[in-house]
Amino acid sequence: MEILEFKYKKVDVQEIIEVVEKYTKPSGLLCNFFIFKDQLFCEIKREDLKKFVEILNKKPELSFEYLKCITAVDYIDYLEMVYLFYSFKNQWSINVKVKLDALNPQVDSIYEIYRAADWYEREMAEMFGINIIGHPNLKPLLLSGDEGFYPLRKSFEIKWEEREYLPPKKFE
Amino acid sequence: MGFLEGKFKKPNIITVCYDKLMNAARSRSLWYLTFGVACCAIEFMAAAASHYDFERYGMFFRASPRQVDMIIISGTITRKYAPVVKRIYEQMAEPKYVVAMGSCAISGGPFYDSYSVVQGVDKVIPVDVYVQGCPPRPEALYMGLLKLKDVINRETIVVK
Repeated sequence: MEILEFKYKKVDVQEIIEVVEKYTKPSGLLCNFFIFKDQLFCEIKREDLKKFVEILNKKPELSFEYLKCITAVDYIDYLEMVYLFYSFKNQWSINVKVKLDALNPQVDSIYEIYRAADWYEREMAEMFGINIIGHPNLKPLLLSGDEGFYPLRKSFEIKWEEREYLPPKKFE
Repeated sequence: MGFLEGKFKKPNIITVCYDKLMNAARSRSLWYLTFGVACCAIEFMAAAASHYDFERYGMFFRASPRQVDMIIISGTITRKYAPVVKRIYEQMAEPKYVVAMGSCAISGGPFYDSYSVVQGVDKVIPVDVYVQGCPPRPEALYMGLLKLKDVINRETIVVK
């Protein structure tokens, strides 16, 4: 029996940037690329997110068909959504960042392109209070939904005190 | 067969204290619910399995809350999960007993200041015996269950 060795492909980050810009420039999308610890990051505008992600997924030359993770960060002045994509075909990774307004954070849902985004977006909605536009089923995932605070925001404080037990308003 | 031998060849009567008879029966056949919440459930399963063996005390697992006498809360109760625990408790038939196992079920434990954890299962349902530890050893759980036997043996039909 022949034993196949898996070899890691040397990924050229500049090549990814070239191929992505080949598709984004004609459609007029502004992408700000930067590299941090050998990882490629890409900052885009909130309005362009859905178009940009569709290019990443649908173009056969890129084929970022796997959504690794969605997470969010609170920088107090602004919020940020981070999307991590992977391409099995090219063994490429790309991290997409979107800046959101702190007072009224809202972003388009990418559920129609990646079905895996369903639970991630629900979690971000309840933990950070981000309004996901176009999500078909935006009910609470981990919390009961009537807390009145967003636990992963910097403004939330943990208090060492006894609390009364209040049953959740909605029990499914 | 001891002192009853040969005394029931024809119909006969035994007189016995009602409380003692019922309490002896109840404390020797505590059926429990197969209900594990968090990591204490691993210790609970170890206590129930063949090495320590619940069944030598007459404790037998049932999968439906309508058939059990005792429920062991073995882990953290979150705010979203508390209504489920309450509904399970309400489905159990009287008399029913609750054992709170581990720090989380007693007071919230290491998650006392968390936003989603209920600070002790006794805020939701009444508890008979608390077993401390994080998690308690099977021996500690046995100690708690023997305490529960004492609780049952103190019951009477005169005053509940």
